Amino acid sequence: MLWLDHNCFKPSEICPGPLSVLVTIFAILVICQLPVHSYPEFQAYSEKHSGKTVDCAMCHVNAEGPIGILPGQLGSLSPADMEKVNQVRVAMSPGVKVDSPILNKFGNQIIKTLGEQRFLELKSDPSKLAAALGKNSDLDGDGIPDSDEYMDGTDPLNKYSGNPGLLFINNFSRYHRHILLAVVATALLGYGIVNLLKTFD
Amino acid sequence: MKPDSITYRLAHFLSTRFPVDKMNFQAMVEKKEVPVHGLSWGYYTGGLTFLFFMIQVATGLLLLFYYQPTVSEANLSIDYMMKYVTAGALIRNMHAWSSSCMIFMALVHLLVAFAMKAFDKPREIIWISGVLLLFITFAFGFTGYLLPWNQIAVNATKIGIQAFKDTGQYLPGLLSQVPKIVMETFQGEATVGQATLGRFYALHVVILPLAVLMLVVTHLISVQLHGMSQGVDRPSHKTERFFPVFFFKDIFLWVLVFVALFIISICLPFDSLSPYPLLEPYNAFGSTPPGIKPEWYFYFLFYPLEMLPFWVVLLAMTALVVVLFLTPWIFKTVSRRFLRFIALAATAYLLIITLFGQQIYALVRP
Amino acid sequence: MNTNPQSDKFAAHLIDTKDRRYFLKGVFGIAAGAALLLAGSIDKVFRFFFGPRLSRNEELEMMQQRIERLKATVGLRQLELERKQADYILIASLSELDSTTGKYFIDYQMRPALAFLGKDGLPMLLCAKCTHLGCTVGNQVDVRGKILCPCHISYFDVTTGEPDANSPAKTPLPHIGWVLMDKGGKVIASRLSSGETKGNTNAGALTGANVYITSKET
Repeated sequence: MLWLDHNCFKPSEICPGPLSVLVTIFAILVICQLPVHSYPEFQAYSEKHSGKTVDCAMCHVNAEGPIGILPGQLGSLSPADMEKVNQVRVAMSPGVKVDSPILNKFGNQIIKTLGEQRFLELKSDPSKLAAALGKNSDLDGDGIPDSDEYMDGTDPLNKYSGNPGLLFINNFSRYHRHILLAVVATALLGYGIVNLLKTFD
Repeated sequence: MKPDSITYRLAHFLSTRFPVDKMNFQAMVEKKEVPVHGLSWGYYTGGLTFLFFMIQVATGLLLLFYYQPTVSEANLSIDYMMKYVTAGALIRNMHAWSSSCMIFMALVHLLVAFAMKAFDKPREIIWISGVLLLFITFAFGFTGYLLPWNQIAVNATKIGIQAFKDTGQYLPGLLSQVPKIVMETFQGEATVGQATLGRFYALHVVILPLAVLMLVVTHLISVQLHGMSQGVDRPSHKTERFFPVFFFKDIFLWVLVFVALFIISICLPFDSLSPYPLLEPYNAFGSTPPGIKPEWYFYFLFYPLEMLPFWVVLLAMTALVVVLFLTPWIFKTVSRRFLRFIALAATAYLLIITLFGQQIYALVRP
Repeated sequence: MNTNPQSDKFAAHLIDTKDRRYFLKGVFGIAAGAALLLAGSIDKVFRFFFGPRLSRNEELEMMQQRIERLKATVGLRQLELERKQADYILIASLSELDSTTGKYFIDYQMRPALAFLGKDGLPMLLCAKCTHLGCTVGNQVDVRGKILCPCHISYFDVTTGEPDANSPAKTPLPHIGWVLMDKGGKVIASRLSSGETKGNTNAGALTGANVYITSKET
């Protein structure tokens, strides 16, 4: 049997009737075949929509994704960490704060905002993830909502990664005093140089 | 000394190229005049290149306070500076933007100097020192690119080094091993690793700056000794004083350009122009993210290598290097009009391959 | 006595009121601009050199990251050292291997690799560096007998290493040769990367055997 056995639901806890048990067992067998910890559909959509390279580090701790033995991957987790991973799988409803060691802040935020059930539903139409997340969350504080960063294929946890045009506008307004000071100082310097030139002419 | 002896000819050559009798304040500053004509804007390009170099030195010195040249700390030290150090992100962005500006301006300066025939006798040493400075500037770009030790840095460097090693296949006999030996000397070990990082750091921070300093001094003293070249075939005889008129205009332009660079650096992170997977810390066991490319100033070499046989590009680049060094002699009798045409053609090639190289590659190799 | 005609000319300029006014405006402009720049940057320059003062959590996070990176570098060096020193590297005991869940290890070329139990009861070792763009391939075998590279969805047959026809990867995952040794270090059986098998591969002879990779093939 697959290694995911201990992570799958026990049928008797879900459906008491015999036919329901069979159906549930079949469903679980099917679900357990899938790579249940990585969802390349969202990565593929983000790449296609943005035209940029996107990797698993958008949502996961490890850029290679959750499969493997490196830090941030399933093979490196302790039993206590695996428990936290399992908590994500049962966080079906939105609003449950999760702290999966294979997900980064954005990944955990997605589960908290949507719930695991809605997230899994969105697998069939990843284009709806951005709308579902809304524009309230900006984890890196760069002025670009995380959902927009997902659509643009940029890192929602790095304030130096984002749509260049939007970053320029946001930073311009954030640092407008410094820019104004520099421009005024330049204008004064220019004024001084021009007058010095007139002296020598 | 006989007039036709080699020693006499060498002495005569050097004395015309370095007229020490003009090495005084009056000749070099007070009485120096700058021609005024349609290409006069070209006289400012050298100064701007020098400005960007000074910005690189200043920001580079500041980066030295926090950057750590080890494979485990390099990327982290840059992250630390960007996140926590006051103005750290600004300094780093300025260094990144100014490096691109410096290379851009150096190329413009080369093309303008070529179009103006500023390599003509007695300015050959100025031209050759300038070409050497251009190559060193590219070397700065190549060595500096590795220092962040992220995915694009290490993988692009590996590709660049591999391309150089591949030239060995066209050399006969034992010579075919020379590129491999040279590059493994630069690498310091069999693959790009800690030894490479250490050597590239030493090159970028000490050796190349010292080389630039020596060449810039030679270049600038020669320019001051000989004055600005006439620039056009039919000069209008209108001039302006180098000091203070041209000098203060130059300074004013520097200030404007500096402010523009400041605004760009504070508002637009250089990293935002690359996909984020390329900027992740290098992982020796991980995947190579797609989209590994050199910086834009190597595209004129990168895309032809992707599209054409290696030997064709190798031959073309070798010819280009030879022509660049021998320009004062090859184009000695060529009119400025024709030189302008060649410069425009070169500009067109550089612009097209840099801006549209990816699209051309997609058409040629779908 | 000042013999510089230029400075005489300059002095003459300043005597003229209009030129003096320009000169003073010039000096004022430059001084004011420089003062403004200095005022705007002096505290930042000081704080740059003074260095950041991190909160306790930030420091802990930084130190944790540094330790992780150092550990990764040390780990890499240790693996390299081991592969330079040893002719054989232990992967697992034969009984630990599974036909559907691969065990990760690092081969002599420092690539990630997977060890499975083949249908013949013998080890099956594959390079796990995807031949498309080098991602680490997953270790779970699905019902079709394939392992998945999740980066760009390439499926590879676990027995042959061949990618699916519609996968982005076009070349197969290379097989890695192995050696089976008993507890005394005696070689029981071996297989080259080409697939050629030697030695005693009967189930009885393999009890308690350990799986090694060897540098001798490289």
